[in-house]
Amino acid sequence: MKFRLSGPLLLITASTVVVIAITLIAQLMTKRLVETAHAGDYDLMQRAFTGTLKGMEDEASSDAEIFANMPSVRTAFLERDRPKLLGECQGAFKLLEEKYAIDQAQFHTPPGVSFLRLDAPAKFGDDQTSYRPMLSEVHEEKALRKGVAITKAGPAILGIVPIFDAAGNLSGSFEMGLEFGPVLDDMKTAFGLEGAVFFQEKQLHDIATDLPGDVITQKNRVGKYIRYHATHPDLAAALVFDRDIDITGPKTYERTVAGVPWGVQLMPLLNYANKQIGVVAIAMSFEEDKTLARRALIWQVLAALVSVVLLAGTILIVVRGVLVAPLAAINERMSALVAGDASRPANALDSYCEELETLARNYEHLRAQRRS
Amino acid sequence: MTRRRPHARAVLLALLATLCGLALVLFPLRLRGAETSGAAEGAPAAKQASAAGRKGEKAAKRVQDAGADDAGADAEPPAEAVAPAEPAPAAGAEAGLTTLPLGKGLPVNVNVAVFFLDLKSFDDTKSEFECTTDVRLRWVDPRLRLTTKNLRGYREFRGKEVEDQLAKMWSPSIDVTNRLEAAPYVGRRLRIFPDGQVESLTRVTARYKTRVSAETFPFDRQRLALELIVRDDTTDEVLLRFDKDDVGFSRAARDAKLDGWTIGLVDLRSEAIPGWNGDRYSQTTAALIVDRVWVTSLAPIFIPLLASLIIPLLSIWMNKATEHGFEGDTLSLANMSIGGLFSVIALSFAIYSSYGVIANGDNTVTRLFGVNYAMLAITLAIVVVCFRYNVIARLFGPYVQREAFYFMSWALPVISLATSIAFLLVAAA
Repeated sequence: MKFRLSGPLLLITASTVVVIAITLIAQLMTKRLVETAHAGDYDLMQRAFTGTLKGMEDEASSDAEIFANMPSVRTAFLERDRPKLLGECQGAFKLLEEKYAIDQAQFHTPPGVSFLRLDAPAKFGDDQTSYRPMLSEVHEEKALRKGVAITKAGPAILGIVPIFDAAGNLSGSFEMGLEFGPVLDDMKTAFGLEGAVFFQEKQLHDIATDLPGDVITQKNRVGKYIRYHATHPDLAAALVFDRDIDITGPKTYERTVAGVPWGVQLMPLLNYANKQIGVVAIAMSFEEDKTLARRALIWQVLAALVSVVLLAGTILIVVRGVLVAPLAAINERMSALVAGDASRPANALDSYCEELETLARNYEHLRAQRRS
Repeated sequence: MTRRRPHARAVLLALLATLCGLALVLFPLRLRGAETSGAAEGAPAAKQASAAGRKGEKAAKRVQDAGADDAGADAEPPAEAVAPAEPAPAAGAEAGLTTLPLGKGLPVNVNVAVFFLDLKSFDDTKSEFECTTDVRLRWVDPRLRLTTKNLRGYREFRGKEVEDQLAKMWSPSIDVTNRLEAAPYVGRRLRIFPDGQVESLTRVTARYKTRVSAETFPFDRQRLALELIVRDDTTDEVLLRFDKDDVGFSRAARDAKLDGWTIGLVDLRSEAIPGWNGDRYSQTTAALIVDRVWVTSLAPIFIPLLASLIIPLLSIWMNKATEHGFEGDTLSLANMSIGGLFSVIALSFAIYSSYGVIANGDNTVTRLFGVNYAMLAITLAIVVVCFRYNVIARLFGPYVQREAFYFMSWALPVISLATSIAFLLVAAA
């Protein structure tokens, strides 16, 4: 075993292992940090959607309450006077429709028969109990219900309030429906999140018969769902595929589109009875985080490499320059002396370390003896 | 003569009677369709109404003829849905229509979308670009609504008609803050829909100032932005925004090209700009994302830069360590470093004069020049301290000096090369 080679090699290897270990730990910590930040982002996406949706549900319910409790409206409904009811409500509804994205408003008589649609006054008299469980429940429970539901006009965020007569008996109900698009649009404005909402194609096909023809199309089909609204349709198409969307619980994943990494949060969209009727996809760009993480990795590797080089240099200089090379030089001279050559003096004594200085001094002593 | 006079008088009377009859028959028919809402009602000026009616007819005919000639035609409503020759709302003639439309409350939302039709040039040195864009603004003015039932389509105005119509109605006062100069021709089109929605399209070729960041050169991504800001009205009154239709409209033309750059998507952002006394003004930025084709800068910049890293190393590699010191001539080795210094200075002049964008600030090229200068300084210091004055040998002995020389001869190139590669990778990350 040559210490000249194996000694530094062992030390350099050990140093390299330590440096690599430290780099890996640092990298692991950076990765964890990024993952934690992304977990927070996914949580924000969920909370932002849930909060915005709840706000819209509350808005639909409060609007319905106000409308249904206007004395003239109440009276007209209790009297089952459709033209009068329309006259009382139409102006206000038009105003709300234009200003506040309210696109559905309907009076029902028990157990769930359309009495008057303010958005389509000519259509009435259809029994909706078979496909509107929320409506049926309002009439059965005689209590307010709110949530997402699919109606004849399409998916909406609904608030349904019961209407009672003077004796306290249920006389019917009134519902207000808000468009779904503004939920996602508001989130985009407030949080910079892209969003898309998907509804089951079968339900849309069976229930939402008044939907425009450009909704249920091949272009919007994703698995068994139809993309109903998206803040950025092209991006949504590139982020959510057939294989992704079949979920029953929240799911997160990352996908790169046009060089930009996106974090996607999929959530089942539940109706008032917690039954899944669709899926919501919220996406956030992770480009900045990913770039910073990649840069951190590069700097960490560079720092590790420089550390290894400097450590290796130090080891080589110390082991070889201070110990091995001087020792080899003295050995060489000693061999020559043994062979009878006393002509080669040792280097200046102060050029050796203390341990070798004694050896060099002894060599010089022997050489002097041989020469004398 | 006497016979002829009564005959001529009779003919004249008959002609007048016919004209009056025609006027009586036709005029009420025109007015029947002019059931406009709000301020439009009762607009009496028959002359204006008939003029507007003619305009409506003309516009309707144009719309019928209109193909998908415009950029972003896919975002346009179907032309076949045009209503037959609806008269222009008398509202257009009302002075009150030039005020802010309050019918839908405040602030008035104005949707912004920008289509990049043609990219003429991008001078990243001057931070300027020239392009032809279609800026689409949409808002709702309920006073322009037509109440006629089952009315579909829109009225369209082109060219000078747009100016005339805009003079009669409210439109957002929007300025492109980073526009330097524009071509004299500005294409305008205005559409007014029966529900009061107004759509304005403006096609203009202009030069714009943009902020260029060369931090990640040559892997940099630039934003060719149009900064549209509302003048006069604060965010309480007018708000710029965009929806999915605007996102769909905002893109570059499929055949748009820009030498040395790859064209990407259009990014829309809305924000509020602070004004005086706490006022805020709405601004929307439509930025076309372009990525530099990095291969083009490889030969003129990065190969000379990496090659110049070898020069300082030569002054170490050209020397040889012995037990008694160094063999090389320190003067010629120092000259080598000095020569390298001048060549790097010359290279920096050459690169910075050609690529002004990288002359200032922190970027990959300035960092690589930094490595070059650092290496020159280190090698010059080594030549003077180690080779000329043997400082290491004097302090630690000849063996340490020799080992230190061996170490420097491989460690310096490794570290400088690794650092250079790291700079490039960081830019590319």
